[in-house]
Amino acid sequence: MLISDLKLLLRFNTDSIFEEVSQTNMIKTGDSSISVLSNGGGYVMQNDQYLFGDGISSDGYSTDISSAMTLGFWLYPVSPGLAINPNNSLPTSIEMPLLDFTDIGSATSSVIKLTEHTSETGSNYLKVSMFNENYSASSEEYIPLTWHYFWIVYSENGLGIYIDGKQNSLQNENGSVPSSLSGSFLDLYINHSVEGYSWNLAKNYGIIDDIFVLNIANSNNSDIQRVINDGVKFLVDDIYTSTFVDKSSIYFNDPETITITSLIDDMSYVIAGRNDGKILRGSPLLWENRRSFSNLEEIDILGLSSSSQEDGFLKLVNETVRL
Amino acid sequence: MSILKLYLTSLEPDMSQTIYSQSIGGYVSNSLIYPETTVSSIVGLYDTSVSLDTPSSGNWSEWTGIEYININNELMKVSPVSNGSISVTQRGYNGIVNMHIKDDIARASSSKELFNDVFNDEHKQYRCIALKNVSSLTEPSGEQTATDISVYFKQSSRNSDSVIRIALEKPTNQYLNSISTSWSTMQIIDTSLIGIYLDNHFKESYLKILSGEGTGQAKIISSFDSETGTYTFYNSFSSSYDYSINVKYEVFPSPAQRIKTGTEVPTMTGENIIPFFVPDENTPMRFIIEGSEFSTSDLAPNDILYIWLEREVKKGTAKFENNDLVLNINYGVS
Repeated sequence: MLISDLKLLLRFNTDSIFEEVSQTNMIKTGDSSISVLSNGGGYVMQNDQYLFGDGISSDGYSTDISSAMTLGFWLYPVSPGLAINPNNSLPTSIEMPLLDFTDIGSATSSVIKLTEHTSETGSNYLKVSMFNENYSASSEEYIPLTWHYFWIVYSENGLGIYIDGKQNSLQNENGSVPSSLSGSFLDLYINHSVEGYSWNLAKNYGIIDDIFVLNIANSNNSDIQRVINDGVKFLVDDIYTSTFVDKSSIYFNDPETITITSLIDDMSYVIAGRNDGKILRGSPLLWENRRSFSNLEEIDILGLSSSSQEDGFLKLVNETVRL
Repeated sequence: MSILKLYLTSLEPDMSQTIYSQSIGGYVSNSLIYPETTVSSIVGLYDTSVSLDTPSSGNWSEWTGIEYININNELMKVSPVSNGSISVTQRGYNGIVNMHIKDDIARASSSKELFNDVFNDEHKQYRCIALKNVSSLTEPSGEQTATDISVYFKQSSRNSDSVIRIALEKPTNQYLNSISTSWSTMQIIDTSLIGIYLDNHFKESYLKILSGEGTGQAKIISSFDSETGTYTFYNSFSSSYDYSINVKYEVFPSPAQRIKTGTEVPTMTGENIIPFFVPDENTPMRFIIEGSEFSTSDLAPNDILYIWLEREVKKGTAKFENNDLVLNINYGVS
């Protein structure tokens, strides 16, 4: 059973984008079909598509957010590079929409908006805006084409952005953190810019997965870790919240170098001890000096009358060998 | 909160086990399967340096020659370890990358341990390790009990020529502490146990005196009489003790079966055994007896569950690398 603090959960397990708290599907806008990775691997955002959800009876998701919120998701970001500013011909960061929680029924009144931005270094950064950008702050940069985990915490005390489990120093912070979000019921857009698009505002075509929203501020490192390492169900499903996983890896390769550490010849057998603990026993006859029969004179030494040499081996013809 | 750790097994109780290939059943040893310490600060998914706390031994000598460390299922290949600043040369060596936080357990792993290259005619070898609840024994002990324990492979060997299976063995008796009602050189009588346990329930278990004369002394139990609550030992305590004063004592979990060599197949029959199997997350292994009032899959402090590992290799295989596996133990807390 899902915990009561959970207000939104999208795990993208099926093509019908099912939100598990409201038990409603999100609606796709755009021509192409929805693309979801197998085994709940995430929703592939596309250039001509976005998702919209407004909960039960179009009343918005019952987010019940006032002065605290936690938002988490996996993201496989992409970077389209930089755009050329038509006004001054300078390379400029491209903005890509990600998540936008808006007032119900209002396509323009953004309450919490997350956008990605490209940078000159080839990395991306995440920008979190509140109340139509009355307040905004950005994350540190992260590398595209690698899965990252984002955990965003809002409270009256401020905003926290955690990427891959580590808290970021907020960059380019503007405005004051609002004391309340007044987000009782909100709509959600995924990969849609409600303001439209321009030369430096493009669609996102990364992959997003396991989006959840809590109406409490949770910056507990062990909870972040449980979600990253074990899955979001260990945070939001009370069947798993009291379950712990003790992990033990056993690593072994077989010995790479076998060496003889002791040797005894008891006149019947040769017994050899190896560094891996194995004890070998063999006939002393097999341990005698090996001869190379590349030299015909070696054959003469043995006194064999009808043998010959081929490629260093002794070929016996009409000779008797005791085994 | 329960703390579970994996130990090597040994022929005698209360001993260190330094030869990994001799971890083939018997008593739980005092040797962890790998030396361990704790993480001292958060390690993000892609960090390549790890800070570890100094081990409880006070130095890093046990970590000399370590090639890999394991934290939360993730194997990391590391530069030589001489102190707590670890330089990671490869994260996710086994394909698992995780986040780590302060106080997570970090275990050292050398690449040539536990198994070796000695196999039986069926190309198999066996080892036995002990899963022990090392939480401190406090009252009430409920919070320290790990409940509904299940074991499964999060990741089996990455070497396709090497197949690992596990079996579980439950000790006949788990940990017990009590006070004698009388005792002598060869026996301890505890009338509070009369009729509670079957005859010989504690046979072969290790009993240690906790108070009074002979504190710290221990003996292996040769028999237990249910009718009188009497433990009898294989050999005697000192005759110089004052046997008129009763003592506190503890009985450790009974030993697992012990095989003669790592190539001998352990017995896989009886109610205390779950035979060899390849469990995964959806089909984990656990002890549950239908209709039982008590869950037999719980581990209270000092309780033990033995885990047998069977390794089979394909005949003629020349190379054995990437032989790592991840054993997950799921448990709840009451």
